[in-house]
Amino acid sequence: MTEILNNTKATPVVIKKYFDNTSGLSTQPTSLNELIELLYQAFATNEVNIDYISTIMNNYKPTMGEWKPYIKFQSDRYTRNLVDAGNGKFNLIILCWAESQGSSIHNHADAHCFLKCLQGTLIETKYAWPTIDEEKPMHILQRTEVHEGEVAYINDSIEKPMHILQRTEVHEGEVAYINDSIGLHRIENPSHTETAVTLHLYIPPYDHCNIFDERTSRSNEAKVTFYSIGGRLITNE
Amino acid sequence: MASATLSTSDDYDGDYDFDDDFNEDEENLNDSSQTTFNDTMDYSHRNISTLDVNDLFNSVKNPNRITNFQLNSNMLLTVPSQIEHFRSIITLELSNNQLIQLPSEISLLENLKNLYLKNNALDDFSLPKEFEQLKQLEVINLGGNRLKQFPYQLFQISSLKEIYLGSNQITFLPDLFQTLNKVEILYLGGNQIGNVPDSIGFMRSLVVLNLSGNRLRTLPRSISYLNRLKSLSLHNNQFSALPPDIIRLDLQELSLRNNPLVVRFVRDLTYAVPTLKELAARTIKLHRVPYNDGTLPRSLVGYLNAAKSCLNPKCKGVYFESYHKNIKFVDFCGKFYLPLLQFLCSPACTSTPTFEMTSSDSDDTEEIPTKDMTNKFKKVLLG
Repeated sequence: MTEILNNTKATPVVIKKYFDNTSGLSTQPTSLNELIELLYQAFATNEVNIDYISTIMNNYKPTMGEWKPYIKFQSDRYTRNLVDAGNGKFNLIILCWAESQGSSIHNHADAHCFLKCLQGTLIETKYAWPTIDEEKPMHILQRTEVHEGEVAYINDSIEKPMHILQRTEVHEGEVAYINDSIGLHRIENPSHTETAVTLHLYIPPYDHCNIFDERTSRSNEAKVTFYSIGGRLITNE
Repeated sequence: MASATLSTSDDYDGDYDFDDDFNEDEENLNDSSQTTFNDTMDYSHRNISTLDVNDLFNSVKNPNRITNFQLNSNMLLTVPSQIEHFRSIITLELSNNQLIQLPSEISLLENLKNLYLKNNALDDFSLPKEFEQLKQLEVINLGGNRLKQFPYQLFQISSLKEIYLGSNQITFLPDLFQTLNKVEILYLGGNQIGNVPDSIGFMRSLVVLNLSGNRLRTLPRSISYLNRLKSLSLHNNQFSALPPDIIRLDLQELSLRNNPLVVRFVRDLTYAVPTLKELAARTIKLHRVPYNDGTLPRSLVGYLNAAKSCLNPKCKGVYFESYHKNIKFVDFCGKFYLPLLQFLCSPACTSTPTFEMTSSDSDDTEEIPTKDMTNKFKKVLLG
């Protein structure tokens, strides 16, 4: 299956039905550099063969030595380390999770997200998008008096806990996939003694997403940042 | 281990043995030139079940230059007492073995700063009592062992900077943490701790505190004294609300997922009617009736001095054992509402205070959390 990338500046190419630019490419990348090279070739046009991408992500056998420049742990939160910016068509990122670290619940800004576990074990919890029930009678949350001088506050958010769709472990070598039509997810390292490392591929890249409160379904926009790019730390804030 | 300070990035050198990719030729234990590189002796990942330290010592050219001894991922049951011959050791890596006991001679390693004992079979009797003589020890990792108690010897080692005790079976924390005033990272995740003692608030160097995966329902008010704390992990516990003092901390990361935090506004939680003693004491404090050791029995003086101020900023009332728990929802920088538990002197003390404060009373009352303090929270990982 191919689809046209609609975030690139170039004009979209007409789909050529019998042409698949990944048909001559290897499906077994044996090194990081080869994986990146195959990705660039797969993204050479404005079409992307998602099945091919899924295949090479699954088949890629990592050697930890190649990832050393991107492995950076912090004791307060997980780190996102950009490996390759993919000419704007994809982002290849290494995430480093120290013991017990986890992400917030987030969406993926209409992008594909592949996640390969390189080391340790992660738990992925998928959540349904918050909904508004239209068929039930209205439910009173609260009834209070507002007196002189007092201030009341309200906004439009839906105050209902989020619904878990699935909770799975992602072991070394395994690949998980998500996009906005599937739902939202949280990733966490459940271990209190081992660290974990994951390889993420986003197609196309994005720098903003929404994060969600599990208790109330409220969401906020969040900027997505990098701890390091090409192995070099980013100093911001 | 992940680095202690939040701004630097030390390369992580615990779990990855990059040397494995390079040393592919066959080695034997006596061929020290390939396993010794400058100051490091690397005998990790070798299926060793017994260690002949004397042999090693004699086979190394400059044993007093060895500062880093890697023995992780073997099958060691004990560490031989002859380990003390390597007096220059600064880092001793013994993780992922089957250690049951450490010899008392380990306390003679006077230069030992980093001791990694993760994933062994150590229990509460495994650390020798001489262990506290390691007066320069900075980092200790006892994660993934069989400890049921916080090791008492650690309280005697004031040089400690990082303590990792994840995934043990610790149920109780003694109230002795004030001696650990140089500790920057305290990892207690994955235990069975039901209560955090007050003395935690006196760990004035603490930057990272991980209490995730325990049985905590509340935190001591002293937590607000930790003014260097940047990261607080409370996820996977039993918190239904948090003490309001948490708002005084200058946190960058706070994790709260998987706690039964209340969803709706909850009023009128339990309120135990005050005793006559408490009512009398409240009146004495409110009207500032003078008292001292000469006029009252010492126990009553102590009781009166333990009065706590009502958290309603407009109220000057006090309480002793009898208080009303109220949940106040606080909005951090326009992000998510967090339920903070406040203690009020009576259920009626909400918008109209039980005892109205006048300007002359303000000296005696507690510091009131202001809007500026709420803006200090940068990120709340509730989601």
